[in-house]
Amino acid sequence: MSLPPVLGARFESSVQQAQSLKLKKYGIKDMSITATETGEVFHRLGQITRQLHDALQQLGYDRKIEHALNEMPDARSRLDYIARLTGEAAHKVLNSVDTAHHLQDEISQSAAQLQAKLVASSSPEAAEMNQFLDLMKKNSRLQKENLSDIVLAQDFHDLTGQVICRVVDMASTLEKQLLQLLLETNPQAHGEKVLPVKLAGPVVASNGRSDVVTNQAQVDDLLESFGF
Amino acid sequence: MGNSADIKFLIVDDFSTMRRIMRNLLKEIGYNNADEAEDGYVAFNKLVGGGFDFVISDINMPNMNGFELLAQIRAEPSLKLLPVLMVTAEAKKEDIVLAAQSGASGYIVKPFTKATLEDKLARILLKAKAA
Repeated sequence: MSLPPVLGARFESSVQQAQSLKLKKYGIKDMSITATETGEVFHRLGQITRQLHDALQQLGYDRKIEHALNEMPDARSRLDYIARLTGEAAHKVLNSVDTAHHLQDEISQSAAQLQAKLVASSSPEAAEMNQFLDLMKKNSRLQKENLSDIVLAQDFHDLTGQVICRVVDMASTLEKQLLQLLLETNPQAHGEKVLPVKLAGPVVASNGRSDVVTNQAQVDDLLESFGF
Repeated sequence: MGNSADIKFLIVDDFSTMRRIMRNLLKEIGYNNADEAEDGYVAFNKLVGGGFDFVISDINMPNMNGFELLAQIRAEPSLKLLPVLMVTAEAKKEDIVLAAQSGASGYIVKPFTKATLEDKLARILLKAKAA
């Protein structure tokens, strides 16, 4: 993006002044910077910073910063939502695995008990039944190994959750820095509300909101009020 | 430490999913006696109360992290010989070195397998028995 003429001229002037300071510094035999020169450098830095602030405002970057700032809480909220939902999903899987584990235990125990009763019998049917019960016990053991793998795979919630926590921390830090930058570039701007961009998708934070529903019962109630 | 099946574990992790996974795995391996704590602070208070034979701890936790918990355990005369296995997503070498220097009995990086956990537990318990 090219600078507007007024800013381009200011920038050119700043560069010339900085070059003049540099020449002055290297033109003297004593390389040390005097107190006056130090003061001059700080004065110039102050001017450049002010010009940068003005440029940000004139180019409309302060509005962009404010937009970015307003998006941050929403981004954090969405990440929290992901962490919560993945956690709930992991617990549902673990509950189902616990139930399946008990069922497999029952199957293998019943098979063993039945086999013990068949020991006395020497009929061909008993032998066939015995083979089938062996297969049941073997498959039950294999199923429990699969269940164990499923349990271990749920650690994705812990691992992704830790990454999400770090991203949320980063977003918080960035939010603070953007707010600081915004206040420095345009102290009045923070009072003006910039409407955030509405993103489609699930409601990630329903607390304190009356414009959303949180379950099917609320949907049905609403539809009922319209005569459905 | 009595019979291996009687060993009482304390699982320390801020993620409830991970605590549950660990409890399930311990059960599958043959250890049915386990309690849980969500951070180092809660864990240390439980440990001081007595009755625990083994600690399995995460590192990144709020209030008191795994390293701080380990330091507290090693500084407490009644707990200083307690086996502490660190199970964490931290795969940085400096963390592993720090854990070893701080007195951890073992270190497992997440994600891990049941076989890895079983192997580490067996080694640590064998060492503890010999000591």
